[in-house]
Amino acid sequence: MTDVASLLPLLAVALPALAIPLIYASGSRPNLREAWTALAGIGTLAVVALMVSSTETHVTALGSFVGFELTLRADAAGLLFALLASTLWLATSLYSVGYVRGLEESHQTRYFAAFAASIAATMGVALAGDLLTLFVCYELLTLATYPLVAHTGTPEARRAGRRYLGYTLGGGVLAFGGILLVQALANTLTFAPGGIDALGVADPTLARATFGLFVLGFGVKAAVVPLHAWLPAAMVAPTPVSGLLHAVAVVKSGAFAVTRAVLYVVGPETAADLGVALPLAVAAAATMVLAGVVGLRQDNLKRGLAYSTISQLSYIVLGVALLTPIAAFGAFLHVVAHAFMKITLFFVAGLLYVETGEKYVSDLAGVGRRFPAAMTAFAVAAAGLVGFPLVAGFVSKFHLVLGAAVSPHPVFVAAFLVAGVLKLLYFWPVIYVAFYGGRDESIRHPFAPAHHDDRGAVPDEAHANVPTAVDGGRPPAHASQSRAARQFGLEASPALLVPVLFTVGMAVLLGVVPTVAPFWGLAETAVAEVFA
Amino acid sequence: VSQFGLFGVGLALATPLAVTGALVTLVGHAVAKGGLFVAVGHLARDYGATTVADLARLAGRAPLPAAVLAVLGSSLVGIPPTVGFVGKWYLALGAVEAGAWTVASVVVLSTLLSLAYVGRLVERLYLAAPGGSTTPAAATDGGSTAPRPAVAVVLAVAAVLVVALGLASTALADWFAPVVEGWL
Repeated sequence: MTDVASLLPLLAVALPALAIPLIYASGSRPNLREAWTALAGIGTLAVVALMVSSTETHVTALGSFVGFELTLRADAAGLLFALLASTLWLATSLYSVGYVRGLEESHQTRYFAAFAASIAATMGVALAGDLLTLFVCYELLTLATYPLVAHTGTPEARRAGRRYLGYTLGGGVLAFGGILLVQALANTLTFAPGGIDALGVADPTLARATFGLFVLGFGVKAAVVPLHAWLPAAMVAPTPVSGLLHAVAVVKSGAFAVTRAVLYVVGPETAADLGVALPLAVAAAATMVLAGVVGLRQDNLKRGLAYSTISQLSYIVLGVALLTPIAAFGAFLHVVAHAFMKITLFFVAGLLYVETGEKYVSDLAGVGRRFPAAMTAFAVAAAGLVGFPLVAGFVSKFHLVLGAAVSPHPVFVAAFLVAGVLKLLYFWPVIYVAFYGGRDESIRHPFAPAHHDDRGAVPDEAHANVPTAVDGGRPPAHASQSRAARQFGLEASPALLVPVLFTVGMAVLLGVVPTVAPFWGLAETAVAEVFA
Repeated sequence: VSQFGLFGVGLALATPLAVTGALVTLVGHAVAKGGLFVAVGHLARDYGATTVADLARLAGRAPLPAAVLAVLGSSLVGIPPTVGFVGKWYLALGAVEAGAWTVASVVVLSTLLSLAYVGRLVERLYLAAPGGSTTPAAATDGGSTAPRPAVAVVLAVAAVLVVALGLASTALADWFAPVVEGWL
């Protein structure tokens, strides 16, 4: 692949950014406003698809900043992430419309504008050709996401927003230190597949410090324990935000930045020589297991999913830290696989919240009968996360385990397997209760302590919203069912249901024929570049 | 005030990079703080908001000052691509290349302290609980009070400047180069 100067990478970043003023300008006309989001989404996806199908690597020079040439370079790893983010943005946009209108959220204009800004920044992170561009976009992503985390403005949301800013900007400062060291040691900030050579011959102590700063700094967004506490707190955000940003865009930016730092800045060989990858691998393995255990105790569905995300992100980090080509390939695939599966789970969680107002696992007894399609999608995606074959999660996990087995530390195979079992223990009760549980039997979450009813509603009245086991047939139409759902005679509003079916369909497709989507080829190219 | 400490640090290191950083910090700080004072003054005069608590949800009625506050604030915190980041970059790079590790880490961490203050301000402006502990201070003036044209222009210029100076940082540093050489 040869480099070619082109405006396409810039366009991929600029299209979502251009949507921001248009969204604000049409704030009083919701349909026009959402049309801008949709247009920008389709345009961005088209631009990225064009770059994927091209045989050349597209590069945009962005001009000089603090004495460096900022560049966007659409290499294989970047395109993999960009394609993923733009595909899911489109699905999430449709879902967002159903969600915020179903719940009649306030500040919808700000919501959609911040969403577009977040995607623009994510595109920048994905397509950045050097550390400085990556860092600029990484920090802007933090700012753009803040209004979404604190969206509802409740004390809890504001606390979560503060914690989010503190953690991520603090991490940003550490990464900034790492970038300074790279500049001082190597006098370049451009990514090089397989690592910047000058770092391999630099003072080992300083090179280790560089690696440590990157891992700690970017590890915040990748939610590696003990830097993860912001993520469960950020679940107060509206569900599409949790779905796209806290399962895909933001956290994957962290994991992606760690990948860039390990494979494209320090390089696998240098990292192995310095002996710095092993501590990272241990931290990631510990995260996988610990987050899995803590997740078992969560009765709040979204918080449980957040701990699952923390655990899954460390699959990716561990895959990278193992420094074997197969594990790295598995890590790239898992970026994609986890995204499609986890966003499905969040979409379903949000759908249930819009249609029933429930957000605790133990209050969702019997919902499987009222929402057969959505809960089946949930079950399939959950099975994929556990690692069942024929869903995307199996393919990536297979390569991760294989990569761990051929690495110098085959003990990490056990970490993947234990984490998988913990996933099974977490998801099984959720699905069992949803399909077989009934309110009468007073089924409680088997592991989690009972939650406090924080809605201030009379419990009995609230519980009457969920059909119980004795209903048997169609649940009674009640007030909490959304207008759109009744209008179309579906189990849920089509704007909510269609994205769920799309993402779960993709997860299954990638599990049955993994090579069908461009992700496989892009991951292969990226790994070949790095381990050439 | 802490920003002037950074200026002193840059001069003390006396390397071209660090002195450039000191000058950029000085300029950036002048623009950002100046703009912030104008914005806060405007909010105090026309909305009667003199304490942080009074700012609750003013963003809805005073969108321009609120947005400008947010932009200038992110420069003080040192978020790229604002000029605040540029000053920090040159200063810290100068310190790292001079091997002054303590100075470098102080520079890198320093602006994060501004976050505690700026974050509180912005959160208050945009997200304070509706019907919270404070009553909107501007209940008296009833109608909308768009800033007077002069104030609006100053605010907009300040906000555009911190971003533009940041984006044009290479040119800015080149422009300072003769001064820096003269001093050393």
